[in-house]
Amino acid sequence: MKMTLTGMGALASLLIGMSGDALADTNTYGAYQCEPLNLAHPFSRGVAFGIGNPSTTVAATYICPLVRDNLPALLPLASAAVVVQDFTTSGAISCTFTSRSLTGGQLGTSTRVTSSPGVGVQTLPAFAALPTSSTGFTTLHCTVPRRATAVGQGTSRVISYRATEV
Amino acid sequence: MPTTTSHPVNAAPQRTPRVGRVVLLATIAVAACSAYWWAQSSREVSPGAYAPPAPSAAEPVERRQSAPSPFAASPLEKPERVAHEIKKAEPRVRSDQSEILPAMEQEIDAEQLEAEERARMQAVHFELGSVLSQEAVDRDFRDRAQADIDAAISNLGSTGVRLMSTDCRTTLCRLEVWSTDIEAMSEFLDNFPAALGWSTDMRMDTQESAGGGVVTTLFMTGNGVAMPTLAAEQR
Repeated sequence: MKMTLTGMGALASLLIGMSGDALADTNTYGAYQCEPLNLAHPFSRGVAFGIGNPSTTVAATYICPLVRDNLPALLPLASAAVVVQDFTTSGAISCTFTSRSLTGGQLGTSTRVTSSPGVGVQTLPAFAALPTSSTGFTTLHCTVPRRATAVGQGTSRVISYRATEV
Repeated sequence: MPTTTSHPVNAAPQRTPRVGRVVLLATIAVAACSAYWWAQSSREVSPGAYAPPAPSAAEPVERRQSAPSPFAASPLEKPERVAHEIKKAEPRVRSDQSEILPAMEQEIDAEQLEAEERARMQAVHFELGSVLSQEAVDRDFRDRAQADIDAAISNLGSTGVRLMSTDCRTTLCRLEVWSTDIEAMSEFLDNFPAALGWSTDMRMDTQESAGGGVVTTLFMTGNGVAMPTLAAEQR
């Protein structure tokens, strides 16, 4: 009897635990996965600290991979958050989260910029939830200004990001 | 007084453990199901979940009621909201039925899906147009926004892209942008937010222009202003 009770208790816990995990559809990614938009965009990459712009002359844009489940029509709203390290005093880091149709057309975007340049690691203000197409996809791209030339300034970079579905 | 004979437990001493076990197991099973149901229900109204659908003139189109979707999934595999919508959207059918759906029917289904999403985006734009038209014109915001937009477009130096009109009021702007082709337009839309330097939310709809090229109608919020909650997006 005791074993049966224990088993049923474990089953109940498992059910509750599984439901909680399945409901939280948020994925976090390291920005080391991001890529420069094309060869004209300089970058430096680190496993731990993501991707940054080492150039003291030009801004760089990085596009970061996002995986999206195929979901029923009209349902999904997605949102994202990005952690950056802002050393630049020459502009703000800007990240844009975009919802696209299957053919690539933009349905909606949410853009967030660092409000106080040069303060180091910060999480960009929360992105707005976007409507998504059932067969579409989402993208995240960030523009990092050139590196400040002042003494002690580091490379501004995108460190990590996360995306939530539904 | 033989009290033992009047007590049912004592009257059938050999059945007690079995009956008790059955009752206990049933209770535990019910408790487990209730806990699961409670977890699902509480998730539906938890903070950060979606606002309840508000009534709107731009109500989205009816959900299709015809064939089952290939997206069907069990509630444990997808968020509860998704599972709920799947259940609501689709009639109950055996899973093997979806496999024998004729290809043509599935194709029609995809077209219907696309049409519904298209209608939904149109409803979003209709609603945003309505919100914008109800805003008063804040001259400071309008002038600053216009200057920032002009500067961003100038900095982008996009060839083949032209700003046709701008209408900025208090928190929202509506832009019409024309381009020679969809690729140039898409590139412009990708780069425009960063060039603008605003924390802004946008909704856009690109259509073929009668005179050639494509026209994008773009609604955007002011710097640091959140997009209003749209009934057409909440369903």
